[in-house]
Amino acid sequence: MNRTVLIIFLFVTHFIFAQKNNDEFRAEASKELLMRGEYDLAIQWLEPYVNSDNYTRFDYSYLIAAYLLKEDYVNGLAYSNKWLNISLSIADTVNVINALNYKTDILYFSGDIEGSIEAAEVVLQYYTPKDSVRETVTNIRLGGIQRQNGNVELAYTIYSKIDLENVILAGSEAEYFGNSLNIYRDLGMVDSAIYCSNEALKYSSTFDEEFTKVSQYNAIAAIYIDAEDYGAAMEYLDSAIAMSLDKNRRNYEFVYENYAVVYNKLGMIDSALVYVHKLKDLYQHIFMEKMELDLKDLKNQYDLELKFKTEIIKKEEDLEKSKLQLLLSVIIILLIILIAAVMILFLRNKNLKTSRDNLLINQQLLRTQITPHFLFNSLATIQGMILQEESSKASNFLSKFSRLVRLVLNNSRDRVVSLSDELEAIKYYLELQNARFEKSFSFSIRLDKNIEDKEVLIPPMIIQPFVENCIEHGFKKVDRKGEIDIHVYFENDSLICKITDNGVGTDAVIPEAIVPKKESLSTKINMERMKLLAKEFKTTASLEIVDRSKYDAQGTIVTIEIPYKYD
Amino acid sequence: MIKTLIVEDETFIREGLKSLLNNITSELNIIGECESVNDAVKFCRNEMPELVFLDINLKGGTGFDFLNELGDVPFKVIFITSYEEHVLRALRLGAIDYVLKPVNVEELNEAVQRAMLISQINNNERLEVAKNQLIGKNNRIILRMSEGHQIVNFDRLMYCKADGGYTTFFCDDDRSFIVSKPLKEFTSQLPEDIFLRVHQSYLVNAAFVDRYDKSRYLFLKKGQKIPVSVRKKVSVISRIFGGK
Repeated sequence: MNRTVLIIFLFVTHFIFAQKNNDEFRAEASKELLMRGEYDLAIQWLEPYVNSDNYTRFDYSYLIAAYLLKEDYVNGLAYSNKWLNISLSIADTVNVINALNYKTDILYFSGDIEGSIEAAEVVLQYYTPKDSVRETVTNIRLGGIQRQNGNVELAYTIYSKIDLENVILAGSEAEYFGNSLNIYRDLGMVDSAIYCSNEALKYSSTFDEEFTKVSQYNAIAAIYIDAEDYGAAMEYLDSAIAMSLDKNRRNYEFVYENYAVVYNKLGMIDSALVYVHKLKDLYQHIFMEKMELDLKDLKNQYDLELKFKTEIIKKEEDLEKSKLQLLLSVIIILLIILIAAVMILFLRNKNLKTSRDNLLINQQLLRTQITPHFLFNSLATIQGMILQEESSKASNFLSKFSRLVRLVLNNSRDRVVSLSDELEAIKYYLELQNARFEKSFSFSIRLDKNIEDKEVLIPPMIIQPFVENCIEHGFKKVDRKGEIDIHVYFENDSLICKITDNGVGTDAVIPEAIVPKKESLSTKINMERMKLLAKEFKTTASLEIVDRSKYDAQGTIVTIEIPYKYD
Repeated sequence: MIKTLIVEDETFIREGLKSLLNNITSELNIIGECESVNDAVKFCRNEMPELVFLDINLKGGTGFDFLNELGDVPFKVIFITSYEEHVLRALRLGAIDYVLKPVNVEELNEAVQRAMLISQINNNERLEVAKNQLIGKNNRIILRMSEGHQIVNFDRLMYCKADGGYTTFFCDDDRSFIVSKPLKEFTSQLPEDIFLRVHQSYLVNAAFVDRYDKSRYLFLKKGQKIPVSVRKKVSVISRIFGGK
C-alpha cells in the first residue's frame, strides 16, 4: 500500500519537474534561436504553445520578439494584443505590462507613432513605485518616440526626470544616451550631444546594439554636420556604413541623407547625387516592399475568405446531402412498412386459406372415416357369400359395392357434387346394407318434380351419415322391419332433405362408449362445412333432429337444409 | 370337442365364419348361432358354451352388453370386429383375443389354438379391463405371458424396458414381468398422460420420477436410473416438471 503511494508520488513529481524543465528549456532555446536570427524556426516552435492553454510568459515574449525582429508587425501586434487581453482578463499585471511594452515597440517600428505613444502612456499607469527601473525603460522609449514625433520639448522634459541610476540598473544606457544625443542635437545643444554620443558608443556593444550603433554613428555625423565639421561627419558616416547595414533599412535612409548633405556642403555635387539616387532607390525599395506586404495581406485575407466560402459551400452541400439522406431513409422506411403490411396481409390471407384448406382436409378425412366400418363389413359380407358359395349374390354385391366406392371417391374429390350423383350413392349404400341383413329394412328416395336434379349442386356426404345412423343404430335395438324415407324438395327457395325412419328414435339411450363421439363430431364438422358453403352460395343451412314420439310415432325425423347452387 | 357359440348379426359373415372354422379344426362343436343380445343371453342361460365368437355390433346392443347381462363369463371369448380402433385398444389392454373382418384364416387359427391352450384364469378381470377402458375408467393392463395372465395396475407400474422383441414391466413391489411383445405395442395401449416414452427402450410412469439429472438420466424414487434420449429431452422435462 505505502509502496504504491510512494511510486505514484514519485511518478507525479517527476512528471511535474519534467514539465517545468521542459518550459525552462524552451525559453532558453527560443532565446538562442532569436540570437542566431532563426526567427521562423522560433515562431514555428512557439506558436503551438501560445495557442494552447499550456503557455508561459516566455513563449509569448519570444514569439512576439521573433515577429518584431522579422519585421512582421501585423502578427507581432496581433499576438501582443492577444497576450494583453488574456492578461487583463485574469488581472495578471506583470504580463499586462510586458504585453503593453511589446505593443509600444511594435507600433513604433511599424510606423504608428501615435499608437505607440498611447500604448506607452497606458503602461506607465500600471507601474507601482517598486517598478521604477522598468518605468525608466518605458520613459527612455517614450522620450525617443516623442522626439521622433516632433515633440522635442516633451522628450526633453521626460528625459530630465529620468534617474541615471535606474538607467544603469536597467542596462539601457545605449538607448538612453542615443536618444539624449538626438534630443540635445534637436535643441542645438552640441556639446551635450557630443558627450552623449561618446557615452552611447561606450555602451552599445552587445548584440542588438548594432542597430543602435549605426543610428548613433549617424546621429554623431549629423551633429558634426550641424557643427560644420564635415571631415568628422564623413568619418562617422563611413563607420556607420561599414557596419553590416542590411539589418535595418531605416538606418540607410538617414545615412544616405547625411552623405548627400555632406557632399553637397563640400561642393561634390556628383557624389551627392549618387546618394540622392541611392536614397531614391531605397525609398522605392521600401515602398515596393510595403506594397508586397499589403498584397500578401490581401492575398491572405482573400485565401481566408475563399476558405470560409468553400466551408460554407461544403456545409450547404452537407446539408443538402443530409436532406437527401433523410428523404431516402424516409422512403426506405415507408417501403419497409409497405412491404411488411403486404406480407402481413399475405400471411393472414394464407392463414385464412390454410384454415379453409384444413376444413377441406377435415372434410376429406371425414369422408374416408365414414366408410371404413362399412367398408370392412361389406368386404366381410362378400367373404361370407363366397364361403357359402353364393357366387351370384357375391358378384351382385361386389358390383354395387364397387359402384358406391367409385361414386364416393369421385364425390369426395370435389367441393360440390350434383344432387343426383349424391342420391345415387345413397341408393347403392342402402341396397348394400339391405343385402347384408337380408332385406331387414325397406327404403324409398323421393325427389320432387320441381327440382331440376342435374343442375343442383350440393356438398357431398351431407346426407349419408344420417342414413348410416338409421341403419347402424336406429334399427339395431328394434325387432320390427325398418323403414327409411328420404325426401328431397324445395321450400321457399331452400333445399330440404328430410330423412324419416321408424327406428329407436333419439330419445333412446345409446351407449356412448361403443358408439363413440364420432357421430356427434361428424355432425359438428358437417354443420361447419354447411355453414361455410351456405355463406358462399348465399343460401342458408340448418339441421333439425326430432324424435317421432312427438307425432305419436316411432323413429326419428332428420331435416337438413342443404346449401346449394345451380350448375 | 369344444362347445362353441357364434354371436353375429350378419348371416353371410356368420356362415362364412362357420365354414372357415370347419376348415381349420374338427375340435369345435358349434352348438348355437345368435343374432341379437337377447337371444345370446337366453342361449347361454340354458346351454354352457366353452368358446364364444362375439361380434361387437349386434341387434339390440353390443357384444359387451351381452357380457354385462351374463355377469360371470365362464367361457373363452374371441371377438369379431371390423374397424373400431378404440375397441381394439380396449381388447388389447385386456389381452383379449380378436379377429378382424374380413377374417384371415391364419389369424383365426392362432386365436382358436390359443383359446384351447390357455386356462381361463382372470377371464372376468380381462373383460372388465376392456369394458372399463371403453368407458374411460380403466387403470390396469393385462399382460399375456407364457404362464398365464398378469394384472398390472398403472399406479404400481414404474417403467417398461424394451429388450429386443420382449418387454419387461417393472413394478414398485420389485416384481417384474417379461412379455414377448415389443415395447411399441404397449406405448399405444398405456395412457399417454401417465406413461412417457423417454427413450427408444424406455416407457416411464411420470408419477415415479424423482429427479432429472443433467447427464440426461431420470432417477426414479426407488433409485432406478433411466436414460433420456437427446430428441426427447426437452419434451420429457416439460412434461414431467412442467414449464421450462
